Amino acid sequence: MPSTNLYFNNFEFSQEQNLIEDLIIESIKIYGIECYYLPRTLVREDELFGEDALAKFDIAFPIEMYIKSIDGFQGDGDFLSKFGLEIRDSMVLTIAQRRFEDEVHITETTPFNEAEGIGRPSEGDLVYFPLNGKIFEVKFVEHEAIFYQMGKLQTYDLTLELFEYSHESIDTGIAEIDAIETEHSTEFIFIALEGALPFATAVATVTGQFVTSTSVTFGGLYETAEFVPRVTFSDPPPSITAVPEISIVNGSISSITFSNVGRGYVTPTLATIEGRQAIDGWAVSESKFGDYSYKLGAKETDTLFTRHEDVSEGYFNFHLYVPSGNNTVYGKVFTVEDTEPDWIINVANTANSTYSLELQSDGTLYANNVAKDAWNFFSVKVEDDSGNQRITLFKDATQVATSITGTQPSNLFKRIVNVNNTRSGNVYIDHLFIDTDLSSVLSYTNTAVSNSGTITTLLTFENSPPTDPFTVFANNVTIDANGSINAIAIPVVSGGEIISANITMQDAPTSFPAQATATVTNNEVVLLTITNQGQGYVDAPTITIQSDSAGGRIKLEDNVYLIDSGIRYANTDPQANNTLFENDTTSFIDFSEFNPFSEGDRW
Amino acid sequence: MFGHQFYHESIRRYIIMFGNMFNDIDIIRYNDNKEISRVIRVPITYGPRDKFLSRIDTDPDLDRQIAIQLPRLAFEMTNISYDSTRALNKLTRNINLGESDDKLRGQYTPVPYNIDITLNAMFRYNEDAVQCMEQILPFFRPEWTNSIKLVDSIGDYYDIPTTLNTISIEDNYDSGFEDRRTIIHRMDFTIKGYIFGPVTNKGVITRTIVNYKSNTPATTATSERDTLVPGLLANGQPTTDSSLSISRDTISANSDYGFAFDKENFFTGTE
Repeated sequence: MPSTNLYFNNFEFSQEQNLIEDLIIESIKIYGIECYYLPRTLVREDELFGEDALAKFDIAFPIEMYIKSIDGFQGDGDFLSKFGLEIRDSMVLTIAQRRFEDEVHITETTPFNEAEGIGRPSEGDLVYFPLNGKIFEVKFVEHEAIFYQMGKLQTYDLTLELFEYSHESIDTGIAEIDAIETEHSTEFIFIALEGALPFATAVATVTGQFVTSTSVTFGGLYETAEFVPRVTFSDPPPSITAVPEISIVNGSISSITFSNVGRGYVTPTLATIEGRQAIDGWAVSESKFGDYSYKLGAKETDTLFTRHEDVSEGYFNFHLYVPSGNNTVYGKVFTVEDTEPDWIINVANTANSTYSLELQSDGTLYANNVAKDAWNFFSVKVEDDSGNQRITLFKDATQVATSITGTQPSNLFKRIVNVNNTRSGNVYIDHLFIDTDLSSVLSYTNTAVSNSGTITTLLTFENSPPTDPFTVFANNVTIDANGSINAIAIPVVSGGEIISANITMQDAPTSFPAQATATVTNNEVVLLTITNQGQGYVDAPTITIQSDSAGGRIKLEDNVYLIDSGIRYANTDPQANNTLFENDTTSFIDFSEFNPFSEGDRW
Repeated sequence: MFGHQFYHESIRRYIIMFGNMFNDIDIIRYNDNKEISRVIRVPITYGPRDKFLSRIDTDPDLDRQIAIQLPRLAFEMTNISYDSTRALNKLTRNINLGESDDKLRGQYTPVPYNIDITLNAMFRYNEDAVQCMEQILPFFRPEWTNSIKLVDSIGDYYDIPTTLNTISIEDNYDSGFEDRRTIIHRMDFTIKGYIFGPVTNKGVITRTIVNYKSNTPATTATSERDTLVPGLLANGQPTTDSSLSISRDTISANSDYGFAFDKENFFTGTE
């Protein structure tokens, strides 16, 4: 509960506040004067000295202001300082806050070059006061001159002082204001006179971003002895770095496309592909139960794990996936190698449409016609049959092959070696299951496989696979005549399947203009010799050949030159004595000895 | 004064000489690419001036839009003092040809005076200030010497050093927002100059005669007479034989004459 009286709302009633503000704005509109408000644009802020000598004022907003200094200007007035006449007039103008915000958008307030200005009148801004046509600088902005009337501030009081002009750029488009710069700047202006003598012209031929030849189309007229005109080529367009996009499908790079093919590339161009890949053996492309499975590669030494214990009874299960691309799949999935002959489960693609289980001379247990592109659940059961071992093959819990009873093998699971697909392609395995505790006897030859505790399901592969970062470079990049990327040949990534990848293009080299020298013979340019072919041209550049140095003058009929080219001109400050000191000293100062810092003929 | 009226404009020349050293200072403002954006010639003014002329020159129509234009330099002479350490022999004279061939201009050695000058530089931006100062300071170690002709009629050039004594910086940035901030660099110089006295025109002595007498009193007959006159042949070549020379009245001080010495003895006769 507020401590002030509930029945009087003097400070938060917005309608009253708006009414007061409307009245103030109306009063200023009636009794005020329209001034121009010039926010200061910061061009190159000097963070050391905390100033901006290149500040400019290039926009002016008409806005009404109330003259608070009704008795005339304050300040020291006009006086003669050691620097000459100074006028120190100052005054206070009042401006309505809402009107300022209406007229001067926040992005146009000082500092102006930032994303957003401060949204209020700023010290350093200028005000053009039309009554005397003078420019005043805002020295201070008082925002609480009227102290929270109805709980809100409605005005800014601008304390102004006549502007001390220090060669800021003033270019508002309003002649009276812009006159400050033209009248008071002592900046040098270079007046370059057009050449009176015709200059040569030439055209260029571009081949594959480079200027390969030039042809002089007009020789011009060059009368000055030993004058070699300067040759300038127009700038090529800026180069653009390409933006490639990489697509990963089934653990490998499927395509590299471009959202921006770039411009300005030269051969060789390099693309860098970085990402993460499953360590060799793990698969992300096919999975049965989780996101990942184990990929059995084409190597006979692709050993998943090895068991060292005799088992005469038991079973193990596994899920097998054979891609359709592997037309001839004939590989060993599990084998027992300790004694001969081995028991082997082969995955074969034969004409036989049935599963068979037989003891071959090499002890092969066949499971023929494994369905392609699908997961097959196999179960191999080993049991004691009156002193002999009987082996039975099940697919999807159904016996698919006749049991075989024999003396071999006596230790079916003694060693489980994944030797798969010795002929082509990969197969995938998931959820390998053995019905006994193998934790103390398993020796994993693949360090990526780990288990602990009582292991019945040996491999689930449901967690994220171990990954490694990888980096490959694609330097087989083809470009067109403009240096835009045509295509990138997908590089070979050795090792495991790719999980994620990002591709970056080498920055397109910076384009730069060509250079050439001119040869003048018989007062004409006859040849341009290319000294630098430039880079990055899409179209033929424009060639500019300098006119004869004698051309930059005004020549009278009696062959007298009136004005030399490129004269320097600066406004003269009415109080300055620079010219006097320059002229009067010539009669009595000896300039025959150069100063110690002089160069050439400059004193 | 003392019967002489003369004005060599020496002090005026020192002032102009001083202003000339600083009349071509440019301040360059660079953009972000270090390219030249503006080249500003810094105005320099001799500060003391008539107020009404300053007003007329600067604000004749009373519509000057700005308070002052910056950056700018101004200097003024603040003191003149005798420098006894550079005093020269008071009786030595500098001479030169006069208005005619039979006249020589003469002037006693000048009086050494130190002329103190204060140079003030006012800036809006510190960057301008340091750039301007960097262009001034390396030349003064601590002096810079100009070779100037101080008396036209004599024509001699004097090496006049200008010594930079002290520099002070005033920057009243630490004040209220409504107070003016001014950046003024003040440099105090001393010109080690000379002030010259009047130039006198005197005739050229074209003949000297020395009479030797063997005894006093003065009425004693002369025993020897030595006469020295300029000798110049009609073809413009010098000679030491006065009998061959053209008339000494027609020999100009600027001619390439020789010295013709004639010695007469009167021991065997009377003068």
